[in-house]
Amino acid sequence: MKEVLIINLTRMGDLIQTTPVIQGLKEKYRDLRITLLASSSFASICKHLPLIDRVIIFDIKKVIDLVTGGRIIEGYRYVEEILDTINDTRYDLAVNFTHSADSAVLTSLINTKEVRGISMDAEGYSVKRHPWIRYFFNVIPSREFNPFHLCDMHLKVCEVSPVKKGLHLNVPDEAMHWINELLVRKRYNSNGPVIALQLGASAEDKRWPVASFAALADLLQKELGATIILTGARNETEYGVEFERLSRAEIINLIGKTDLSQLSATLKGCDLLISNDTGPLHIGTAVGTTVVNISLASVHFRETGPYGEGHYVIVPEIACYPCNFRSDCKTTLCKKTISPETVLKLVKLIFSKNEIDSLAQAPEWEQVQIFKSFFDSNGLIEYMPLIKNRPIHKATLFTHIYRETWLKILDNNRSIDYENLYLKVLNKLTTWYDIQTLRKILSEIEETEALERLEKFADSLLSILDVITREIRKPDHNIELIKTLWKSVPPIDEELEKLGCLYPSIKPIIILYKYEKESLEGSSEVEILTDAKRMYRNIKEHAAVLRQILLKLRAWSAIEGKKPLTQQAIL
Amino acid sequence: MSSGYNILTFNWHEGYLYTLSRIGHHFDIVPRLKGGYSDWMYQFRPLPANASLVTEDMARANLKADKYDCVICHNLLDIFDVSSFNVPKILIFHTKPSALFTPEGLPVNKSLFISDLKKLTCSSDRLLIVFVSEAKKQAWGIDGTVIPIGIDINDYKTYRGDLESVLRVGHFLKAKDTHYFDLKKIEFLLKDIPVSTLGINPDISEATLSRDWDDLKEHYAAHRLYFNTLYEELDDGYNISMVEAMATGMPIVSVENSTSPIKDSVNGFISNDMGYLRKRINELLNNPSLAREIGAVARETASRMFKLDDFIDRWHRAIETVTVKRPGSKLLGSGLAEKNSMSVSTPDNNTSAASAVNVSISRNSTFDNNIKILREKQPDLAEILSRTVPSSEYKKKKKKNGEKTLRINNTTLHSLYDPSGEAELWLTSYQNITPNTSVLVVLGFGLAYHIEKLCGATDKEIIVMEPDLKTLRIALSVRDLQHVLKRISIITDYSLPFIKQRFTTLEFLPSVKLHPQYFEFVKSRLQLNRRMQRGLKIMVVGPIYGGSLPIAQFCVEALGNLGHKVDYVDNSIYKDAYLSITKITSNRRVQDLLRASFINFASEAVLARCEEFQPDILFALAQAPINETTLLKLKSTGVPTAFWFVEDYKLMTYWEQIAHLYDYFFTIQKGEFFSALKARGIKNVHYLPLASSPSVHKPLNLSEEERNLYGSDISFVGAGYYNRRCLFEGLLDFDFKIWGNEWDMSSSLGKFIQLEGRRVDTEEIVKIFNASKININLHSSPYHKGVNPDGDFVNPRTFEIAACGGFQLVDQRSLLPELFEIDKEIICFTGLEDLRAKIRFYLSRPEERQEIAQRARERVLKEHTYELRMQEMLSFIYENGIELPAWSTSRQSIDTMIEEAGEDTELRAYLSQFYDKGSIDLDDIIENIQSGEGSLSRVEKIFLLMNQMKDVYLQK
Repeated sequence: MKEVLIINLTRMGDLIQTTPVIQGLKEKYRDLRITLLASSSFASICKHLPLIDRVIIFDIKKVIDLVTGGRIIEGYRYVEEILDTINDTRYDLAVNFTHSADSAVLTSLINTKEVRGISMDAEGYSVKRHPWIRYFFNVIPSREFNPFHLCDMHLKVCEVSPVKKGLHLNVPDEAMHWINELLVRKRYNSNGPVIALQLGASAEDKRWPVASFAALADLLQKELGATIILTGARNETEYGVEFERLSRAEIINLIGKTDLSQLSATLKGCDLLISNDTGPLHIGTAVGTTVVNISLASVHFRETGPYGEGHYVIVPEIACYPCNFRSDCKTTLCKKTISPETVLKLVKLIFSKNEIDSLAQAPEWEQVQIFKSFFDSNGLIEYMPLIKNRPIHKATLFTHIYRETWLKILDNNRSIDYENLYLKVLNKLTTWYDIQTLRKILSEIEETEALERLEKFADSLLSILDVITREIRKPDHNIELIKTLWKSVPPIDEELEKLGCLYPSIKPIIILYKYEKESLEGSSEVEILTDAKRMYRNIKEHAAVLRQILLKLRAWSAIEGKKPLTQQAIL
Repeated sequence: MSSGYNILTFNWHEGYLYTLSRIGHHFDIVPRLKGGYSDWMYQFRPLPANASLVTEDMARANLKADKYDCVICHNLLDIFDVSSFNVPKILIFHTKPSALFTPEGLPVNKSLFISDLKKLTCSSDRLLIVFVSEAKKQAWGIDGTVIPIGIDINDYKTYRGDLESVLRVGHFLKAKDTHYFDLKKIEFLLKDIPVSTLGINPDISEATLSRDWDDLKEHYAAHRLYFNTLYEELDDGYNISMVEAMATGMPIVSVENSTSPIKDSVNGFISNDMGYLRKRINELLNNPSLAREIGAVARETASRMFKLDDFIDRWHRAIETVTVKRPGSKLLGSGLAEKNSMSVSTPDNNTSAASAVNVSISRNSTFDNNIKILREKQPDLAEILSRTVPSSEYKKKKKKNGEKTLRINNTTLHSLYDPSGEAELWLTSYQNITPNTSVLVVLGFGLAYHIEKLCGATDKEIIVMEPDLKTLRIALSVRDLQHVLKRISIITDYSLPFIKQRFTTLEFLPSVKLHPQYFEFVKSRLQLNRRMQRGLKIMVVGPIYGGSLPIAQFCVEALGNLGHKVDYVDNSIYKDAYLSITKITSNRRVQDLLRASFINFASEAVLARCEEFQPDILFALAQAPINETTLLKLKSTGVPTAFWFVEDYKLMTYWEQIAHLYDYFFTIQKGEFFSALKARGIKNVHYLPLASSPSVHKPLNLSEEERNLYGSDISFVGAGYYNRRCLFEGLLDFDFKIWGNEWDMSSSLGKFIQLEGRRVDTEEIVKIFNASKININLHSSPYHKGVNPDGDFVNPRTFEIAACGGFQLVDQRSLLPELFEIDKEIICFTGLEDLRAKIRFYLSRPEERQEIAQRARERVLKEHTYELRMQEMLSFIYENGIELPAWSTSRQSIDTMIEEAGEDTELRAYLSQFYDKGSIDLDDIIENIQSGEGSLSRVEKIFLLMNQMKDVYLQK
C-alpha cells in the first residue's frame, strides 16, 4: 500500500479521532503516503495531526454560497478543481470516515483502487463498503447494544491495530512555553492541582450546566486549592461570563482567547480536564492529560468517550440514558443527576494518587456510574464500571456478548471457539455486576429460541441460493426455475425481519443484514450470489454463536443457583 | 461689453452672489438678516474680489448720488427698499410662490398678491424679472427671463468618497421635510445611516457649518454620497449645493422632483420610495466603485446642464437690456422674455446639435464623419461625445501598419502588434456559441477592431456596452467606423433596454477589466433580462369572479407560452361560497364584515402559496382578493408585485386604496388617470391595453346547425348594462340576438335574449363572434343612454371579435385609433342613428365586411395578443429597475449557464437539455438526474455532490 486517502469532512473531535487509524496505517505500511481531505471549517486542526503527508481542504461553504447565489457553474468549477487536486494521485485505498450522503458522492468520484466507507455506485445508489462500515451504520438504530468506540471501528475498517495506542496531537513548544509562563504568573496555589473546565459542547443537550461547573469550581478551589482554567472557543464566551457571575473561585478564563495550539498546550499543562463530550475532550485525551468526561443525553461514552488509558466517564444511571440522536429532550434530568459533589468526590479520589479500580458505595454515587477506560486484550478501548455489583440490564448483557461475537463475525475469525468467548464474557459479568440480577435475566431469556429460528431461516435461504447458483452455472439454465426460486426468498426475508422487531436484542444482526443486502455488488449474478451466501452464512454463524453463549451462561446460572451462597461466582 | 458697471445688490445667499460675481463688474453688497445671521457668511463662500460690503445707509447715499448702474434685488423687500430710486432694477425670483405662502408666511391672499405683483412688474419702468428656472417662472405665472444657475466644475475637488457617510447641505431642512414631505419618512430613510448635515439647522443637533468654502468642497469630495431633499412644491429639482456635489462627482440620492437632473440609476438614484432609496444609499455606502461610477456621470451631467458660460452670458444680456435707456419705451417683462426665450435653454432642454461645434476639442474629419452617422441613430450620445475631452491617461499608439491602439493607465486595449489579427482570434473564440441567437451583446467598445470583425462575420443585431465616453471619443476620432456605427447601437449608461430576442454576450476583456463595476452591473442585468425573457417564476392571482377572470386565465396561458413557470392562484373556486354571503344575512354591515373576513382568508392563502412557490414576481388582476396586510408582508419578502387594473378608474375607485401598494401598476386608461395616479405619488404606472388570445379567439368552421344556433344578422354578447338596454331598443327591427346575463326578460328586448339570459362561456362566445354577420360592441355604461361620448379604454371584446375574424361595429372610444385604424380595420358608430345606418350599409356588403375583419385580425395577431402584453409588462418591469427577491437568486438563466460552461463540451451538452426551461436551479438538475436511468456521468455526480453538500450543510 503506497497511497491512502482519508476523507473526513466532519468536526474537530472526529478529525482527532482519526489519528489512531493514521498511526496504525503508518505502522503497518512502510513508505505509505497519507492524504487527508478535510473541511475548511476545521482546517486549523489538521496541521497538528501527526503523520499526515498531505492535507487538501474542501471549502463546502463556498459551494453552498455559489449554489444558493445562482452561480451554479462557478460552484461546479470549484468542485471540479478540488477533484482534480485530489485525483492527481491514484490511491490504493480511499477511506471515507465522513459517513454522510455528500461524502458518499464525493467518494465515488475518487481515483482509487479500493474504497472503504459510504460511497455511491454507478447508478447512484448509496453503498457501504467494508463490513465494519456497515456495522458503524448499525450503531445508529441500535446503539444500546453497541460495545465499540468510533476509533476502534475506524481501525477495524482499515484493518490495522497500532502498537502506539490512543489519540495523537502535536503541541508546539512555543505554545507550551506560553502556558507555562501564564501558570507561573497566575497559579492560584502552587501546591494545588491545575484543573481545566470545558463548559461548552457542540449541542445544548450535551452541556453540563454552567451553574454546576461553577459550584464545582468553588469546591475544587476551596478543598484542593485548585487553579481553575476555563477553556473554550470564541462562540462559547457567554458560558464564561455566566460562570464568572456564579462562581466565587479565582479563575483563568481562556474561553475564546486561545488558538488551537494554545488550547492544546493549556490542556497538556493541566493535571486534569473536566469536560463535556466535545472537541477539547479529545484534545485533552490526545495530549495525555487525565480526563473526567461528563456524559449526558444523546452522548454515548462507548462511542465517543475519551479514547485512551486511565480516563474517567461519569454517566447518569437513569433509564433514558443515552437518549436517541436528535431526541430534543426538554427535561434536564440527566444533568441534575450528576451533582458537583459527585464530580468533586471523584476528583479528590483521582488526586489521592491511588490507582482506582473500584469505588466503595457512597451517597455521591447515587444514580450515577463511573467508568474508567483501558485497552483490553483485543487492543480495543473498554470502559470498566468502578462502582461494582450494580444490577445489570439485559441490554448491557447483550452488549458484552456482542463485543466478542461481532469481532468473530466481522473479522471473519473462525478460529475462536465458543467456550473461550463464553468464559471471557462470564468473567466480565461476574466481576463487574450484581450476580443475582444477572441470573434472573438469564433465567428469563427468550432469545435462544429466536436465534434458533433465525439460524433456520438463514439456512433455508442459503439452500435456495445454492440451487439458484448451480442452475445459473449451467450453460442452458432454466430461467423459469430460477424465477420461481427467487420468489420464495422475500417471504423468508420478511420473517427474518419480523424476528428483529420482536426481539430487540437480536435486532443488530437483522439491521446489519439489511445494510449488507443494500451493498451487494458484483459484476455477475454468480458473484452477487456468492456474496449473498456469505451474508447468510454470517447470520447463521452469528445466531449460532450468540445462542451457544447464552445457553452456556444459562447453564452456568443454573449450576450457580445450586451452590452455597459463599461459593458463588468466584470465577 | 464693458465690465465697469457698479451694481448694488443684497446678500440673501452667498452662494448665488459668489457665482453672480463671476460675470464681472463691481458689486456693493448690503448684508441682510437671514437664518439668524446678518454678516457675510465666510463659512459658505469668500467675499468675491470684485465686491465690497456696504451698509444700508451707504447704499442709500450712493443711490441718491446715482452711483449705481443697476440694482439686483432678490425679493420684494429689496425692491421695496429701492423703489423710490430711478435706477435700472432686476428682480430675481429664487423661489416658488409656495415658499411665501407657508402657514407662517405672508398673511395675504395668494391670487391677489400675484395679480398685484404682475401689475407692479408690468408698470415699472426699467425693471427686469429674472427666474432661476423655467419651473419657477411657470409657478409664478409672470413673464420674465430664465437664467439657470451655472457652475465651473473645475472649481471643485476630485471626488474621493472615502468617508462612508451621507452628506446633506441646506438650511432648515427639518422644517422643509415636515412641511413639504413627511419627516417620519426621511427619518426612516436615514435611520442608523451616518449623515453629516451642513447648513443653518437649529433643530438638528449634529448639523454644523463648514469652516469655509474650501472645507465645504472638502466635504463634497470626502463624503460617499449626497442626499438631496428639494421638494416639488417649493423648489426645483436642484440647487447650487446639489449641483456643486454633482460637479465634484458625488452620486446623488434624491427624493422625486419633476425638474431634477437626476435620472434613476444613471447619475444617482431618485424615488419617493424610501425603502428603495435606503437600499441604494446602503449600496453606495458599501460600494465605493459604484459610487464613483455614478458620481462620474453626475459630474458629466453638471458640466453639461449647468454651464457657467451660459450663466454669465445670460446675465450680461440681462444687464445690458435693463441698462440700455430706450426713451419712451417700457421694458416689459413679456417682451424680454420673448426675446430671451430664443437663447435660453433650461437644463431640461437638449442643447442643439449646432452648438456642439463650439466645443473646444480638436476635431478631425474622421470624428465628424463618424459622429454624423451616430447622430442619425443616437443623437443624445452623439451630443455627449462631441463634448467629451479625453484626459492625459489616455495614450494613443500608432503601429507601423497604420493601425492604432489605446493605452489607458496600464491597460492596453488592443494588441500592440496586430489589433486586427487579435480581433480575428477574439471572434473565433465565440464561434461555437453564437449560432442560435439573434442579438449579440458586446461588452466593451475599445477601438472597435473586434466589433468591426463581428460586423463582417454576422448579420445579427449588435449592441455594444461601453461606459467609457473618453475611449469612445478617441475611437471615433482615430478610426473610420462609419460602417460599424451603422450596424450597432451603443449603450453607455446604467439604463439598459429590455432585449426581447435570444442574445449572447461577448466580452471584450480589456474593457471589462477597466470597468469591472459597470460590467458586473451589466452582466447581472443581462442575466436578469434572460430570466425575464423566459424562465421566471410568476404567480398570477385572479379574481373570485367577474370580467377579469377570463383575462387572468389568458395571462396565465400567455406567460406559460412565453416560457415562464406560472402558478395560478385561481380564486374562482371560492365563488359560490363568496356569493352565498348575501344569503347568510340581510344585514349589509354584517355582509361587509363577512366579505372582509373572506377576502382576508383568500389573501392569507395567496401569501401561503407565495411562500410555497417562491415566485420572482406576483402579478394580480383587477378584483384579486389581496389585502393591504398581505401586500405589506409581500414587500418584506422582496417579491415585486404588479397589478393590472383592467377596469374603468372612474367607476371602480378602489385603485385609490391599492395602487400605491403595488410596485408596478398597469392600466387600460391613461391621460387623466395617469395625472390622478401621479398626484398620489404612484410611480411605475404603465398603459397596457387589453388584448386577445389567438389560441382561443380564432376563426372556426361552424356546422350548419351551429350557424343556425349562433348566427344572426346582428348580435351582441355581454351583460345587460343600462346603456345597452337603452340603445338596443332601437334595433328591434333587425335579426338580432342578444347573449349574456343581467337582461330583463320581461322587457321589450326579452324575445331577442338567447338561452334565457344565462351566462355564455368562452367557447360559445367564439362561435357567436364567428357566426354573426355583424357583432355589435357597445362598451358598458351604467348611466349613458347609449354611447358614452367620453369613453376612452377599449374592451376585451373589441380584440376578441377581431381575433375571431368577426366583423364588428364598435362605439367610438378615444383610445381606439391608436390600436386599430378606424374605417380600415374597424368601424365605429357614434349613436343609434349612425349605428342603424352602418348596420344597413354593411349587411348589404359581405365582402367589405370580410376585408375589414381580415385586416382587424391581422392587426390583432401582430400587436394585440396577451403574449405581447405580458412581454410588454415584463419589459416595463425590467426597465423600471426590478430586483428579484432573495429566494430567486438560486435560479439562473440557462443561456447564461451554457455560456459560462464555455467550451466544456461535457458540461455544455448536459446543460443543453434544460434549454426549454429558461432558467434552472440546482434542484431542477437534481430532479432530472433522479428521474434518469443507467449509470451516472461525471457531470451528474458532481452536481449530485453539490446538492448533497447543500442539503447536509443546510440541515446543520
